[in-house]
Amino acid sequence: MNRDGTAGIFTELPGYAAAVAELPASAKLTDDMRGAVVVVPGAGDWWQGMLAARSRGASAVVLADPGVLPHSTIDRGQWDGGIPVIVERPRLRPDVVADAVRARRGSPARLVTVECAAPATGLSGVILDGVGWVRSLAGAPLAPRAAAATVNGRMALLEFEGADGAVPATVVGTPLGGLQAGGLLQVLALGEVRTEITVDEPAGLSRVETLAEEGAFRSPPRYESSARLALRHAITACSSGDPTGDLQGLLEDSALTRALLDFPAVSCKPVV
Amino acid sequence: MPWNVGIIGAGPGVAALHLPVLGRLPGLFRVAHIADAGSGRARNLAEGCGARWSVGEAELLADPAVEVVAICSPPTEHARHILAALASGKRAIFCEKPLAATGQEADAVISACRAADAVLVVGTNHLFDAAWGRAKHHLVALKGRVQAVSVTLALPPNDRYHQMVAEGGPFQAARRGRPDVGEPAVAAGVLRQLLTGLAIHDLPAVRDIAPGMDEVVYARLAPPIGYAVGYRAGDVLVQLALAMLPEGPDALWRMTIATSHDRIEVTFPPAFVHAGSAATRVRSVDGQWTEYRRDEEDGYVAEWRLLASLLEGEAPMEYDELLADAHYVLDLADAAAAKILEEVRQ
Repeated sequence: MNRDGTAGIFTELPGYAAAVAELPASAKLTDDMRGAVVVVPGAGDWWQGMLAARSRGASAVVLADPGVLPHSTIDRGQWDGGIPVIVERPRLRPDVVADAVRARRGSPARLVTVECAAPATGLSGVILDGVGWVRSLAGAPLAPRAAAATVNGRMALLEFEGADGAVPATVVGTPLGGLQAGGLLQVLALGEVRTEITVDEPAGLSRVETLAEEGAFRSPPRYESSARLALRHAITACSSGDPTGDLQGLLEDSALTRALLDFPAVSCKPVV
Repeated sequence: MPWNVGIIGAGPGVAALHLPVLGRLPGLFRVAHIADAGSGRARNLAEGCGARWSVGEAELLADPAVEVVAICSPPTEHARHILAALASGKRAIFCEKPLAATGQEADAVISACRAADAVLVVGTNHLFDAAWGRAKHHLVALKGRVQAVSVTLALPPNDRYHQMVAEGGPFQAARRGRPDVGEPAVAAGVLRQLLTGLAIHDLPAVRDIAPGMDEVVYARLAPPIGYAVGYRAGDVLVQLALAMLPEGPDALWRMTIATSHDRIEVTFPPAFVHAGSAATRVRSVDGQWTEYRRDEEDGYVAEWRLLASLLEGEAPMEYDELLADAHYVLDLADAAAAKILEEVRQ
């Protein structure tokens, strides 16, 4: 924390520099990691980036849009906590998740389906956040039950415990052609209350709709940038000292996603 | 002159669906005779449309006025009723889905129809929906490679929609005790029934783009009543999901096709009501969403129009397609049921 009460933010990401500018009373850019909130880019080996930030004296880490790392990269024994970790997942924003969960008013999901599509290089990240949506809507740990992969896509069955027994959740991911970066994520939580989530990055669309017998409710759009939201959470976590569950959630989602990505693809000729 | 229709069965599907649909097509069809299995419902329905009524199928099949036999009896009776209709000389049949309860029955029925040169339509209404036709055209025109297909259903009780198209009721049979799905054989049987009763609406359309079935990846019942089934058809992944709910929002009945470039969503209206064709949305590779207009007519009307076209010789009979559709559903239902039992053994 700086003398003027602002938090020092160490970042090389333009989106975060912009977010700092949008928090003039709370944050200032710094080029020194000591005591600062360090933004670790999620591209590449972010695990080592987090370890390095902590060893260089970071007071908190913001992990920006992390990708899925190989199993061998993450040694959970290396991270013994100590500083808060806020994970920024633009397709799984905590405020949007909270909107979706709150609108269900406690009505349980009976079945969840997730469909992901993105250019091949970004597909794993979209699946990761799709799995995160299931975990968030389930409010319970997920267990992998089955998977299949072809050269054109991947599918998995997950389960979580509901009041009436195991609740299935399905995930399908397919690569998209074209030049547009970013992906499409569509989540359906079926039940007496239905939640329909669409996050379409190329279309600039993030929509949460909740449908019940009496009608439909569309949650309002969130105009705060995902980076600013993550910084605010990091600054709050620094001052409160309260632990966050972001990293735990990310690691759980990563393990399930990695298992799906590592599932060997069956290559076959189209059936005629 | 309209074709005279004799309907075997007088349940909700007839009262709330086929009679109103036939009422929409007065130039093509006229209801001449309705038969029930002893419930007494045929009389009420027949009197309302100036038709004869009887108990059991024999009198209806012997009725010389009946030119088209509509088979709306319980699914396990379909094959027997088709064969009986052919044996009594009828040469035009509308059969509610499923065509038959087993593969052997399906073979026998199609073989008999082919030998008799009979016209046959199976009421897989979504297949006849104009929106599905357009979606298929879109797939062909853009040459996108199909990668995955999802069919997702969330259904409140049908009675909500029966009340919009019929009077009286309740139309749903009184609930029997919930089956013990903790027993694997029971669970497998329930799943088979759900697939042949509900997934069947869309599986002929799925077969159009994902023919064959190489592997059932998973098969689960979803409490209270529903399923999650995933399978692989060549390089295409198919995901079927159903949740039947005691209450909740209006029915969701959506098929999504993911190709290498586009995503096509076909959202069908609830069963029984007439809200036009399905709605089709296409999300192109650049993130542009296009929503196409609905047609005024739905698949229910379209399937009867097709029957009229077949009777007039304006469309060819495709026995092989009907048989392949029947086997696709039955094979999938058997394989999914087997998957449940296999996982218990493991």
